Amino acid sequence: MNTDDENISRLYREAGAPGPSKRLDDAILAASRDTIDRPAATKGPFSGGWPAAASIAVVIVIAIILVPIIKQQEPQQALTRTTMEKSSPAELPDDTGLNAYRATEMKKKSMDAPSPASAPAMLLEESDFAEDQAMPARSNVSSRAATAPAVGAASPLEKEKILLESDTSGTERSRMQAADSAPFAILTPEMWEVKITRLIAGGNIDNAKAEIEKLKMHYPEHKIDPTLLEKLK
Amino acid sequence: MDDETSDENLMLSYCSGNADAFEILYQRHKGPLYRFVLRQSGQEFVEELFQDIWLKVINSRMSYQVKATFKTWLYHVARNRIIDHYRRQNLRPVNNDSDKLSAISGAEHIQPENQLEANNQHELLMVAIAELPHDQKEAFLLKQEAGLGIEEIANTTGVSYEAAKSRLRYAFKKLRDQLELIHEHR
Repeated sequence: MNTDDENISRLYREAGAPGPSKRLDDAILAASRDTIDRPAATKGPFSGGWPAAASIAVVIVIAIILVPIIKQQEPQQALTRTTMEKSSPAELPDDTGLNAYRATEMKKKSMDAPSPASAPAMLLEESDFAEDQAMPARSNVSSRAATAPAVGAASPLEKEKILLESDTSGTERSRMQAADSAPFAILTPEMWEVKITRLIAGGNIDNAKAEIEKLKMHYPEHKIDPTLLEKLK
Repeated sequence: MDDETSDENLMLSYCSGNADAFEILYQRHKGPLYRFVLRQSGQEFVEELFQDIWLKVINSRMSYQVKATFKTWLYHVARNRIIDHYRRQNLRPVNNDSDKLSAISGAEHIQPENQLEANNQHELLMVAIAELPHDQKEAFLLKQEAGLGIEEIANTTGVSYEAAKSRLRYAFKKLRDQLELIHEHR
């Protein structure tokens, strides 16, 4: 700032210094005291500025997106759980009551024993289940394979006897029992198709057709492998 | 709490409920702020604007944070209120191409009616200030009343350092030229 500018500044300061009136001073100071005396307003959820509001909005959007997805997945999970529970050996009678249970079952089966022609189909069903569910007990597969021909040749009644007489483990027996008692609805379409393929391979076309119908009924939306249908024609 | 306490600490103290701290702040800044507003808005609106500015300071009690000096913040609030006043009144502040110095060629730049009233140097200066382009007048008042440096003027008005410096330089030059011209014509 040069001398001329300093002169202007000096002149400006000398020009007088008007200020606010006493009334204005009092009004402003009273307002400042009123604000202090008044309790602070309760803060709402949106009073934290835009970050708080944005966080709430994000949580709401995520909830809106996730809830339908979770609801959609719930029935599928429930079905899987039911399937596992039904096929779980833990749900089956324990070893101590097994003989009594088997005796009852044998009686029931002898009452409505299938014709000898349908016996191979039964065997195929059992083996399907056993193979799919016996992953942890692979060591038992060899012993089971040794008994399989004998079981395959036997009627269901005889098969039960073989099972009772053979010294198979509890797990093995449970698996066989689970295969017997498992409802068809718990088969996945793919498992069902494997079963049908085996029925066709075993020459049991009628049963294969029946299984196709059941598969269609249980999974109306599932597209059956065309080669399978071709083989049935 | 005394006169040595910084503006920022006084404001923080007021924010935490000390009404006396606000009174000290108010006494410190009321005169310069009043004149800053008066010389931009005129006598008609000065009280309303001055009161609004201080109410804004009072109401920002809950959200005040020290991001700049209190004075810079106070004059920023004041400036925004004055701009808002111009908008509401559907007026435009006199705002020539202020960063380009147009040579003042004669005393006719001061209105004749003002000239009649300018019977002494102080009044002449006030008339000359009133005739300044808005940006230059604002820079001049921020320096003279608020005591802000160029950097603070730039921060308050939201322009670059160079622009603030230029506005201030042109303001002084115009005032000087006006005063000299009037002297010559007497």
